[in-house]
Amino acid sequence: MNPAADKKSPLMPPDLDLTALSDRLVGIVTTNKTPRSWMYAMAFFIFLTMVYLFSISWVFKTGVGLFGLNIPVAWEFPIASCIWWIGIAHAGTLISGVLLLTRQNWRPAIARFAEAMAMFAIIFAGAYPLIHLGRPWFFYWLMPYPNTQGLWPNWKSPLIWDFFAITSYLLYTTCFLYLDLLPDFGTMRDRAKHRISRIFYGIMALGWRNSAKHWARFDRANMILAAISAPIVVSVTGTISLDLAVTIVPGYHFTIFPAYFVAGALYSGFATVIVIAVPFRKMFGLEDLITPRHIDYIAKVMLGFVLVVDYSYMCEIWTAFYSGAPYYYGVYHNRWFEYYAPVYWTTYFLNIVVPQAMWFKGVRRSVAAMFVIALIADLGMWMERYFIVVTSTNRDYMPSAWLAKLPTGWDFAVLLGSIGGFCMLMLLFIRVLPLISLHDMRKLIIRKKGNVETTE
Amino acid sequence: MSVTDKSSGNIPGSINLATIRKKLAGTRGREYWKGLEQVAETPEFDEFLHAEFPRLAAMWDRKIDRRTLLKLMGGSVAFAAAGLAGCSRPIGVIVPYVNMPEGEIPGKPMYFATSLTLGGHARGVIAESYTGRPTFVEGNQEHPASLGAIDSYAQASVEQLYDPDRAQVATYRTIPGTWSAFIEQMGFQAAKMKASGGDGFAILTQSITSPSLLAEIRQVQKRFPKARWYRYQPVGREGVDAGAKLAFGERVNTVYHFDKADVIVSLDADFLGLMPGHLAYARQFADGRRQKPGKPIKMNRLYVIAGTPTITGASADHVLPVPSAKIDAVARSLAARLGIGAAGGTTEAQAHWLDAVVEDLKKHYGRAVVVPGDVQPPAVHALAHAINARLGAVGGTVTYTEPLEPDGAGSLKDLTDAIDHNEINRLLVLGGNPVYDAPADLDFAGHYARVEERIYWSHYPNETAYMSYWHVPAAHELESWGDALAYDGTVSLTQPLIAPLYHGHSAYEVLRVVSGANADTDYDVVRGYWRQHYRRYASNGEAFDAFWKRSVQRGLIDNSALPAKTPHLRDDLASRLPQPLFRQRRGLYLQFRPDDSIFDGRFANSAWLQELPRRLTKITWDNVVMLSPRTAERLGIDNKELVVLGYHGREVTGPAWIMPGQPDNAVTVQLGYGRKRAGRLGTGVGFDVYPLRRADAMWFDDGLTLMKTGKRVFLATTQYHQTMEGRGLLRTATLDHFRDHPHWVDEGYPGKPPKLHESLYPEPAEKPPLEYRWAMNIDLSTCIGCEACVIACQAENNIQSVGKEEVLAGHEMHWLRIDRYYSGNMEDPETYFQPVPCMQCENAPCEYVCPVEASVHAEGLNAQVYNRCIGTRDCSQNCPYKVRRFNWFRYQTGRPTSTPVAAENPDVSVRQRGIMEKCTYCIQRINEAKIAADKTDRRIPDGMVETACQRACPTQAISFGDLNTSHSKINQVKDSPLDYEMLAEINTRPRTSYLGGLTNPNPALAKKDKNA
Repeated sequence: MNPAADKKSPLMPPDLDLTALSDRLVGIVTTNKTPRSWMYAMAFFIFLTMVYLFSISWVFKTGVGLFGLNIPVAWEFPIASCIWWIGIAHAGTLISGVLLLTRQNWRPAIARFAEAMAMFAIIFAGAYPLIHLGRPWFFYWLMPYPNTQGLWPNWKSPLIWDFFAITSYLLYTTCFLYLDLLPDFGTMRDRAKHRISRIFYGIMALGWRNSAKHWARFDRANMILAAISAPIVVSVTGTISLDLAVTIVPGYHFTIFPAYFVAGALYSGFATVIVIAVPFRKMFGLEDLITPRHIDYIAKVMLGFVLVVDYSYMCEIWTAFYSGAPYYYGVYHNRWFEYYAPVYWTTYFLNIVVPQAMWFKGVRRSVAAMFVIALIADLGMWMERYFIVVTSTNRDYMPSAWLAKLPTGWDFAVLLGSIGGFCMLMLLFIRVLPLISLHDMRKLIIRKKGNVETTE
Repeated sequence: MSVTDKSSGNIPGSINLATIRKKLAGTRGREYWKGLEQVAETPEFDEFLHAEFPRLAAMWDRKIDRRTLLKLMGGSVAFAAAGLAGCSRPIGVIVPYVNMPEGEIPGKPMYFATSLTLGGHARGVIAESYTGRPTFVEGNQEHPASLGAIDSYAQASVEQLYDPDRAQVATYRTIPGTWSAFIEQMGFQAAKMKASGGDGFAILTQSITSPSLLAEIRQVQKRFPKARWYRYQPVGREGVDAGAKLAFGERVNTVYHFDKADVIVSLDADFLGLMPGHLAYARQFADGRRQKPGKPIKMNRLYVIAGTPTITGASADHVLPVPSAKIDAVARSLAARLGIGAAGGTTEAQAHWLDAVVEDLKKHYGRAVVVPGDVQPPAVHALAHAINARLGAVGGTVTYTEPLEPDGAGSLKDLTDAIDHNEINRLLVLGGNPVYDAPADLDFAGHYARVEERIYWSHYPNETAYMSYWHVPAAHELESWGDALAYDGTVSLTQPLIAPLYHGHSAYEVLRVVSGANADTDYDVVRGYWRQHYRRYASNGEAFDAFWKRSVQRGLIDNSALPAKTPHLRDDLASRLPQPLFRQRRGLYLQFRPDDSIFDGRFANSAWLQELPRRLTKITWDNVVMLSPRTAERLGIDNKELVVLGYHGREVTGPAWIMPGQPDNAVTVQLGYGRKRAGRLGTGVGFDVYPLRRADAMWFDDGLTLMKTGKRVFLATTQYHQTMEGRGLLRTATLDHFRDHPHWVDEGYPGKPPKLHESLYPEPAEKPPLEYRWAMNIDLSTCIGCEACVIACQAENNIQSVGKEEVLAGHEMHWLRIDRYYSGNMEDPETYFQPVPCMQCENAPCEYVCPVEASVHAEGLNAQVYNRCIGTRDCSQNCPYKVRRFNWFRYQTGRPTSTPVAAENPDVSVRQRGIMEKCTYCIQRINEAKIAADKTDRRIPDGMVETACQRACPTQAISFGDLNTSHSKINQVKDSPLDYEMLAEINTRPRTSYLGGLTNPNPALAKKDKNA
């Protein structure tokens, strides 16, 4: 880090001490004065959650035909949304894991809610393929378990890899989040005002007493999980991308997909961190802890990944034409000129042109501008997933089977509902646990004051 | 249930029955259905149900809707084999099932030869029956009008049999009555009528070729000398008869022999699609186009002068689109070139075309034939007779016989005139639906309402039933005895497979009751008739019983085809021809055509037929206004835009459809839609064009105006993209090209299948050796696109219909689809059909992606384990042929479009919602053969397994068999140089392959045609 920049705009108030930090962050949870904005937001997102629950129940009851699915396009919104949600989860893992390993001092302020974001995103991501099953009540047939049918899953199928990728990711994220929360559960227990919350936090803290032994083990476990995070980030979305890449469908069958999907995942994930950070810092007065400099750093990461994504776009097009197969030209003809062309071109505009604004420091340091760019990035990435999933099979080998259909209201209800459910869980999370990691921030303060040498 | 009139008083629960009857009697609604529904909700009904149908009651406790219930009941009742009387204990001696009917093995189907009619003409079928329940019909190989093939109408007869919307009970003024009350009242009336000699009594029938029914009508006429007989058929053949009279001075029946023809010219004739005998004609035509291994490369040539695109035109080597109304002129010009009469007016391009055709015809003297269409006026028929005589066709490619239908019946116009003169006070309508389908200018409904007594016999409580006093439900052809003539006069017998399900009665019974004769059963009448007349056909000295048994068994009377005769062509024919039609056109031409799927409207309530894509447009559940691209452009009409057709002051609104190959200025509409009382499915589907029809212009006329409305509608088509994008999916060439390049199917198309061992993976064929390797081949030269295979597949494999909304959503379920591609220009395109079943790839892309191993390779086939499927649909995503179908909702029961449970094939599971299904090569038939072969410790002989599509195909375009059996037919076919695999370059190694399509264009026309 450039020390001059550090001086110009600090990553936290210089006079912030340990007690004040704990008072402020724990206060967000323990206060009786819930911000009005939180209440309104919560009401709205609970409504969307209800929309989600209602629509998936109805889909379970009547059948997946409610979605805009048909025979050439047997996958659309739910699969696109699944990939998108997993991508969002990845940024959380990358921030809490990889940035921990590389000791980035802008990490502590955003790691906690990013990790929570990852956790909730993976829940909604994982739900999609199940909602999308023809017979969801038999989803457990994807698991290898001893059964009377004497059958194991088909290990050649990427959907099985998928199932394992998502479940292991969910497990991993849960462990990592919980481990990271342990010291903070201790703080919350000690500062809780009510007996019930004291008992709750006490149980969750698993007897955390801040002893040196605890810290030593905590750090070791944390580092191990952080070390796992990097391969997890790469492999989960990589595996999901194989659902598509392993098929012989022109438009799916590209070897660049794993790398391409991971970059896209991280791009949209970091964008989501900004989308979450901006309202939260406003809602709880955390402008001095999550500063424009944090946003700036995130923007730089976003720019890096989006350039990889853009490069992949070009690569893919080149591969398609280099293949010499008419079916692959057909894919691009379809994407460029046919029914779904507006989606394609909008995606390209959103993912290629708009992100170039992040080359400019003024844009990166403008919270408002970055909030808009982050929203656009999320939208752009969702649309990219959508056109990849849909515009490949809607016109593949057999022209007679070609079909273009619009999504139905149920598609949108489930998508918006899942976003609502995600936001509701995030809002709930920050009223129960500190949205910024106390122990990480404390370390940062201590390290800054030079009182203690870093020991990690 | 309780409306049965045979219930005895001493059965348990009879009190409840009586209560329900009382309740029913109280609810004299317009429709019986509603009455039952109301009753069904009462506790009494519940109790009754539990007592009578314990199995049903379990289902009843679950919430099910009315239709499901009625269907289940219908099915259960069918088992009872006593019709609805099954609700109560049968009267008389009952035979316990320990004494099994002869030949019956529970669970094994029995097969009966019978015949089904369309427009009075019989096609022989074999009906499959499971424990007394007909489930499937296929062609009767011995029947000359079938030759083992079947058409979609006959195939759907099973669905119609179980249709719960069929008339269920005799009604008087739409209120349920009883058969006995009908007999009583008719007896009384007949006695009165006797005194007046039948004055004022008239019978209106459809086309009848049945010898026994005609004899019955003669009997009635004998008993009541003043009684009159009228005949009306909306898809009639008046032009054919009048044409014969014009040419020969007498009516004749024309039989074509396309197997003997090298050059065929169709004057608007759809002889492959709809003409009587079309199945046999299709076979003969295809035999002339099929390339046989080891035989010289040879093919017939078909020219079609088409008023509207048909599958006959699609199979043609050259098509000349001419409005039906102008074909008269073209026919005159054609005749004039052969020295008959004066030329009509033709354009330069047409003249050039005709020159080449005439040249070709002359070159093939004795092996050429001209076929006039049923829709054409008498002059065209007369000219065709003359041309055929001039070409030396008579006795070879064309033969004549006595007419199939006798004279002596008046027309519908005669009937309405008689009503106008107050000469009719009692009208018996035997079948048909004249209130709906009579020409609008006759105002049949208005006239019918003025007849004092209106008696109607039909399958459905339809428009005519609603206006009739007595309506007697008709027994289905699968429920009754009967006879009819095939296109060549072969006497075809109909035997019942099941007792009438819905209190139906045969035409014989109704005719006898109405005329006050003994109410003999149809069995007695038909058998009685043949007892008198059988000697002509019996081998010498044969007893009647032996003759009857033999004939019923075979479904026809042997050697009963009418003998050929040679009518004398009038020498002064040219001078007798009427003036050419439509010298000056006013407005546009309006053309009517029977519908590909629902014919004249009689099949409107069939989900199978409504959902069967129309052969050329691929539209389901709708009819359209067909316009040529140029006409649409000129009028600024958009595809699927609603247009108002104005004709003689009447207006009808329907969606426009821009039809490649449609002649300019000619607008074609299809009959049979816009029904007001067809049943749950057919009512309100499409738009009714009968209001535009006039008795003097049954098939076409000018003076049509079209008006844009600017509103567009959704039409549920199953194919949206019409061109092949240069991909070598369907490969065609000319015969000459084939002669020069025997391996053209592999030349110039993208990609080749990888060579063996080119891949790092083991070759699929080298997996453990299989006992059988089933494979299929479809010959694109002979496929005519009739879609009989599609509906046969649906019937055999319990494929559900889904309805218009679902087809619009892309959820149609047909395992076998027929892709239709166009090439060339819009005005005169070449049309190709390609049936696409599952390719049964050896390297199946669908298999490795399935996470739960529901899509697996089993015994060399690409099997789908329905019970294991959880519905990820990855298999369909990865299927390059897109032949997999998904149960998006619960289609199999509870929807109006669901196939009646009783019509399902018990050998095939009915799929649940949420699972993928696909073509299995009719694995149930393979397994049945395998079990039979295993029992005798032999291999399955070649040809023993026939898939449903293969069996149905009129042209035998589909071959199927085992590749491991040396010299099997499939091996021979696959050895053909024309054999190719679709998308072979992606290394799927499909088992289904195609024979490249060949056409035989006339070199003199080949180039000019393209530019025309």
